Amino acid sequence: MSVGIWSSPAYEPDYDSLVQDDRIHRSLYTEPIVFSHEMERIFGCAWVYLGHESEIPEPNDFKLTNLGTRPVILSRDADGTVRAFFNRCSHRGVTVCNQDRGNTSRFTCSYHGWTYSSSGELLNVPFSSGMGESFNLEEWGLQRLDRVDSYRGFVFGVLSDSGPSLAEHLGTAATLIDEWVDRAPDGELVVRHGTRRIVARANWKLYLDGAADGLHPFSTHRSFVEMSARHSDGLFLSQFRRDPDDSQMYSMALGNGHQYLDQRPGMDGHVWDATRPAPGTEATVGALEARYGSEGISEILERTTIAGMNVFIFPNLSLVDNSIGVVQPRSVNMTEVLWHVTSLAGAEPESLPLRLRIGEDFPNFGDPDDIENWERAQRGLELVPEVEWLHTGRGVEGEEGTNQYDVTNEGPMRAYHREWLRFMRTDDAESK
Amino acid sequence: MSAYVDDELYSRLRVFMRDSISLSQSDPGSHRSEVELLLFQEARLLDDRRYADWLDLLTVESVYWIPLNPLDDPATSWSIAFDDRRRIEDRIAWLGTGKVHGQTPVSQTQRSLTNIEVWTVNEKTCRARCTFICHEYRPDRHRHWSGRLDYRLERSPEPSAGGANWQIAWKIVTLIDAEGPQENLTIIL
Repeated sequence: MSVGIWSSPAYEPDYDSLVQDDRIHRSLYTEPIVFSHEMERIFGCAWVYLGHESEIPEPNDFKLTNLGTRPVILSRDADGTVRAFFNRCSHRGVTVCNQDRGNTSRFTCSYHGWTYSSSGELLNVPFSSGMGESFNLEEWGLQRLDRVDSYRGFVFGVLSDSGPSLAEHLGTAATLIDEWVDRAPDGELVVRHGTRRIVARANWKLYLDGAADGLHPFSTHRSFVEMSARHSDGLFLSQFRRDPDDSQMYSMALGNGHQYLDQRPGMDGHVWDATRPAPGTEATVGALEARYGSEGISEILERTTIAGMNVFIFPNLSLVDNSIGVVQPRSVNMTEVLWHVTSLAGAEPESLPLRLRIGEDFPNFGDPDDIENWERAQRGLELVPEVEWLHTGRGVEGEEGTNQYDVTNEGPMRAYHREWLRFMRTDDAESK
Repeated sequence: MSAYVDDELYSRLRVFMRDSISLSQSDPGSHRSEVELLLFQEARLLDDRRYADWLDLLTVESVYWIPLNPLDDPATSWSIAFDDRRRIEDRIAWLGTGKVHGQTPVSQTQRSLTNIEVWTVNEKTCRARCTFICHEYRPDRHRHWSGRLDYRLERSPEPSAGGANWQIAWKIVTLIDAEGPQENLTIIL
């Protein structure tokens, strides 16, 4: 990849000086040049999550997605192979697909009618006799991402022929994806129940900074914690009403920038027992009892409620509760998060509505407080250039040699900052 | 309190919203004037954040639903919000904690309802549909939410303290951009 395709002349910040042991620099959140470099060096070099196989189950199914800010079509071609190519006509650059999802064997550009197959090959151009003999259809297909691979249905793409495989990129995080997916009796997720898109006037890394942050619920989510104490004997979110460092909750830096927070050890008993009632709880439990007996349903309810695990796969995939969150940077101070709720293949159909209702809880009563705080952070960082640093040093002393932390330790965030830095250094360009 | 959220309710909601896009002209007489009074009162109570009084306008088995798509089946589809009476009360309690950062300071809202149409279902039930725009102001930010409202209304056993003859059983909010990126939603629409 050529350096400088995003901006010219290229200005090169001294990234090493901007990420320090206990602090990082505000410009990482505010400078357009940094964002341009991120789109090139992270989203243009790393494995990026594109979508889930179950979103495009049939031949010729497609959905629109993104690789950083680049529009991408994720398509299952006529032979059933999952493909990813830029949504950019080879002729004049027009986005050839302009519908979020659907099924088609042909993508026809609205401008001059170049027509591509569901695997991205150029099939024909109108009045082709005028193109001349040197024109070669094979040369002008929709440009594919260099590599596309999937793990447990999660499809990733990367703009590089070389570098780590997807398995190497996921590393030990793969076992947590397994744990999340293996709640499904059939071992597969279904991602076809709707997507909620939120947009925040904030840099995309503000989401990542909170991905395994077990400290912020005590302040950010007090409204949710206090409101929830009305129900369920007060067990729900009780892990965030006690001294967190006395609980068994923990967080981890999983390597390669991936982060993990396990809330389950902080919950009293099973997760279901600490789940506050949702619309339909009584009817669903009743229907399950009638069919499976009261003894048999605890396992069913345990996989109907939230997972209690927060897994973040650098740079853009988040597994929270029962939803897949996709961090979609728009600009240096604008970020979209796409939440796709999941269901479990092979799960009892009676449990689905309750799973969906429980999955609406955090987006309604948790996300709003996160979003507000990201936007407040962005304002402070942008508007006060004289104060240059953000503190990231909680627990930094004595962290060497460990990757598991007390839940309030900022270790997982520091680890992903170091991975961010590794991508942003130009002299590491060959070893990504 | 929440036992009424079951397969039958989901099925009725689905049919109700499917019917909403094939309705014929609304009834000329019906209960239009009473329903208008109710809807205007409701809008005012929400703008004034009189949530306890707003709650009095809702039936015991009420639904406040913001679908991602108005033709979604709520039994198999996620929603922006799907509240039964208990979760509506949770929502009011949540706002009442004073710790919702997106409501600190509180939003000023003014909502307009237009194109109100009313159909009589039976002696005790009617449906209404209207267009709304809700302007929301927070410091340095003025935004608006717009779309349509579908209501299932039930005749009150007796007029409420606020004087209404009808109660809101279902309020279904279809935002025109429900499937697009949403700014932070912390108010009741």
